Amino acid sequence: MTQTKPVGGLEGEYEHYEAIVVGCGPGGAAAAARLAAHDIETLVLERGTEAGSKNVSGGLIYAEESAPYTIEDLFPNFRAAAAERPVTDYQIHNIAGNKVKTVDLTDLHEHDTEWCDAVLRRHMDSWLESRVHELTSETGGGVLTDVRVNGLLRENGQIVGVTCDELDPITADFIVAADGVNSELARDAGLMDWAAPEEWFQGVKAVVEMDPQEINDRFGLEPDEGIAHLFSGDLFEDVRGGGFLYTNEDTLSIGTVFHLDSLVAEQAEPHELLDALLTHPLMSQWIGDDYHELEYGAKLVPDSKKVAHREPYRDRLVLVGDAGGQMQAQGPIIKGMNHAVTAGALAADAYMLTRGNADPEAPGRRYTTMLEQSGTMAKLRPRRYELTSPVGEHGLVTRVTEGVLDSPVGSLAIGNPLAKRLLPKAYNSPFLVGMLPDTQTGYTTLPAIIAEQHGRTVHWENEVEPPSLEERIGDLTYNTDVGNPHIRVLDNSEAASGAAVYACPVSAEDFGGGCYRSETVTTNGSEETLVSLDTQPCVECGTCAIVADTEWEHPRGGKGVEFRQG
Amino acid sequence: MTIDPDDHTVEALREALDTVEDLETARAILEAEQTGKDRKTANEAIRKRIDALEEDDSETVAAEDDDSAGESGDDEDESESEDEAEADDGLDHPTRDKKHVRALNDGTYRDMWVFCETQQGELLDVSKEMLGKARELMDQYAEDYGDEEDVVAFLVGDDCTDLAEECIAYGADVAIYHDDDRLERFLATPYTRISAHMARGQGTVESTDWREYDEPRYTLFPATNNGRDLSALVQAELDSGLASDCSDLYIEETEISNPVKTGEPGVKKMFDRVLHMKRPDFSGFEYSTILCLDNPDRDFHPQGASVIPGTFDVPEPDPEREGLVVEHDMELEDEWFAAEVTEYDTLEAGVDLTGHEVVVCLGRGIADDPTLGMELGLDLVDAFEDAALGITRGIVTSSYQFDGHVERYAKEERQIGETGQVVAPPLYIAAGVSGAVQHKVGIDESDTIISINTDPEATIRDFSDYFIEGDLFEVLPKLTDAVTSGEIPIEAMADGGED
Repeated sequence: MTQTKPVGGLEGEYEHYEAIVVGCGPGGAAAAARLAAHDIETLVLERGTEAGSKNVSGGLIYAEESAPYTIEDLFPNFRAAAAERPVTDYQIHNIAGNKVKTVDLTDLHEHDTEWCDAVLRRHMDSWLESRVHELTSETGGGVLTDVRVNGLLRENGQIVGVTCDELDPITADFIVAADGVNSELARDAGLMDWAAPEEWFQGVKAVVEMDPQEINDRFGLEPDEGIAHLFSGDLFEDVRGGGFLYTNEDTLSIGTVFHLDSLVAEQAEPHELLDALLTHPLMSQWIGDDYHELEYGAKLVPDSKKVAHREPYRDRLVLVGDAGGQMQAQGPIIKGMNHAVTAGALAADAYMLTRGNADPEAPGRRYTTMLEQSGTMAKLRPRRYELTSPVGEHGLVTRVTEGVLDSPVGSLAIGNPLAKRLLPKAYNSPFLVGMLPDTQTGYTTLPAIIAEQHGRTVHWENEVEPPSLEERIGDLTYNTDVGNPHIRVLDNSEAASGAAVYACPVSAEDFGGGCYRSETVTTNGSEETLVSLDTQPCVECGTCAIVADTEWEHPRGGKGVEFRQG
Repeated sequence: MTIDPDDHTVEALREALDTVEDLETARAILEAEQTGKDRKTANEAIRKRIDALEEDDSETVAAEDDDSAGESGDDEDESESEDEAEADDGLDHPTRDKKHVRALNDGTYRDMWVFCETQQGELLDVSKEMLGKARELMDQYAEDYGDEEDVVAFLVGDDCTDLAEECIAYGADVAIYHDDDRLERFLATPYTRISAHMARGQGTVESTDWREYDEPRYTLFPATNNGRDLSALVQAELDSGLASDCSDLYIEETEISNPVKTGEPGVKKMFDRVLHMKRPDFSGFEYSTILCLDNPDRDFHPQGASVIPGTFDVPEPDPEREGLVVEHDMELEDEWFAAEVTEYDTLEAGVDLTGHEVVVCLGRGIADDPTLGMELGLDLVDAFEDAALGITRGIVTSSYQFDGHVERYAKEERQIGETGQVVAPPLYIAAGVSGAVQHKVGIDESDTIISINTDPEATIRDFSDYFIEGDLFEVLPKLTDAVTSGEIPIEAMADGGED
């Protein structure tokens, strides 16, 4: 290394790397791989016992034709070694009771898509980790697992490094926060917050075991083909959101994604919503009485339209992927990992281009410019959404549109034969989908009416018996940090934290084995309802950090839940 | 004087750059170019100038001493090379003037010494673990080198005679101890002085005539709080090195080419009988093997390590084993006892639920009246001759308000399950326990499991021998009566309840 290091100060006191990447998911892996390619000494810190053990995602990774980087560019052989089946067919099912209208979305799905594969994160991320370790070892760094970075090291108010639970602080010239949706670094830097529930989605997912041949038979696939099914409509009562089913090599990923504010408003239980999908008659063609769930997981999803940070940097720190809110969820399209990959690689390039520049913010500024110029930011925060949403999400407008759709005239409009032809077109227009306001209209009313008007009635018996929440928790693997809970309830009144009892994916009303439980307590003769917390079953999704009054941190390195599928 | 690169052609910029003598300025120009026209050739030109300036810069910074070959013990060597680099750093270097007055050259060294730490009149497990490992190492040593050398246990305390005997049973050939009333608790200064005195073979003829060498060949200390303290002090006192917090030890030869150790560059030298001390770095993400080797003109012995407790197994003691127990003799100076232990506390051992005939466990079924539920559980416990009360994690983490007299039973120390205690009594009674898998693993090995629950679908039924469907507030008192009067055997009661 020809770099000269400043003498004295914290940088002399602690171990120093030229670059530190926090988190070894796709964003962190991409950043580390590019940094190593530029011959930069890079240390990657991962809090899981292996990369992927802390990760859950719906399960599709895209390679966009317009993107400057795809994961296969950075990690040759990724698709063959780390991914499941490619998505060769894409359908959305609009559901009203037993009536279902299916629209083929393959055109929309293929728009700007080079390829798209289903993935399971434990397998994928652990594969990435070993590649990243090889690459970074060559330039004097490497990947350390079981290390939780808990904050930023500052000197004279400037970020100069990171602090960890397990190791002494480490300084670096460049810090990439790829520590996920609940990024502790982004919060410490003041770039992101645990703000309002309307900025977040919550997804829950079941990974279901199925023989590869059976998958081929039930879904009509060749061995090298895969399918994505989306579900919307009144399946989930009035909770805004939808469901998905993706085919993996020998499993299925079946899940639901909802607006967190809607979950709270409707007091919905996420696991019951998932069960509503699993037990719908439509599903019986794919899953049956031999239903065997391998893993239940959950995660928060930032709504990039609202929270993708336009200038995701501070001092020498940059945010990548979920940590910077870079999760594109517009209508049925959910793209997160591909943007994290692009952002990670661009951040590394930005550092290389500004290397030697004395201003610590030079890489961050350059990274911001590159996000703009590559079109990534425009995908994450489309201007047209920012123009329509103030009108579209306004309560009055929603009520009026709803009124129109429910009125004979409105339904007639959608119900007429012309609409039947236009419908697939409308859904398949990326522009129109991007404009759909995030209201009940798009998620429930519209699909339900579409199904009412155009759907065929499904009479199949669904014999699936989903496991209880208790069984799901029992099947998860935990390395509990005994005596050291990572979440504390600051206000245990029902008003402040009661929402966690139903919104938490591993808690439920009248269930004593979950994280959050409401309890009626008699104190000095007066009865009140209090919320108690046991962090043992926690899946670290972060929901309660937003809907309850808590002090929320991740468990120490290697502790807490360990996903085997992800 | 800054230069705006946008005002220059690349040609003119090159000339202008030659006048820039300051690294910061050059970097500022680079960024100006990048945010401005961002010409490839211009960027190259500016970078070239930055490189040139950086090179100048780095010449003024002393080369870093990159001595990470995994060898320690050559403190002297390190401090020499650092002298130049740190000549003017304005800091105190109290060790710089240290003369190695006691350092030996070509001394004789034998035996493996093990510091056996005690607590409340007992050997710590780690002391036994080290004795076992030392025995194994020195037996192998005798086989490899044909020299029978000893495992020597050394102890400091106020009443060590019996403990010294015990050390023999755990594998020591010699156990040397120093007793003094003032040494009941660990004190850095006297413990260090005594240990070094022992190691050097100082003292009366009677206490030292069993040995004929200058210092131990190897020393082991426990990596406990006190052991870490003592190990560093004693090894410094003996002018050798220390590998702290080791997790493996073995003895073999090694070939070294470092000129500090060989005496001349380009020559390789074989060191035999080297204690290889393996220790985790980065909290166990990587391992380094530490060697402590003599220099040509100065020895680094004893080769010393501190050992992480639990690393090795506690050996089976052999009370028949014979060995030499030696009382060490030395005057202790009053000033060594300037530090005084004025207060100490024994941490609560907590509640041990294992080893009882019966364990009664309460779960969240007591929610309706937690205090009464707890009282009923305790009544049943009292009805048995040898029973203990446990609770589920659900109670530990609840917000139940218990009255003062039963509050202490709702603490974590009574928790049964994966994250609490694991029990396997002849009889286990679970009242109001749902039977989550985390609880199941804590009771699975119990002989007979009786559960009481209002919900006949409760998971616990699946692994209960007897299931009583009912409200624990009603069932527990009946059960207590039955046990007290002895009129109805429990099994009959359980059967009856199932109707």
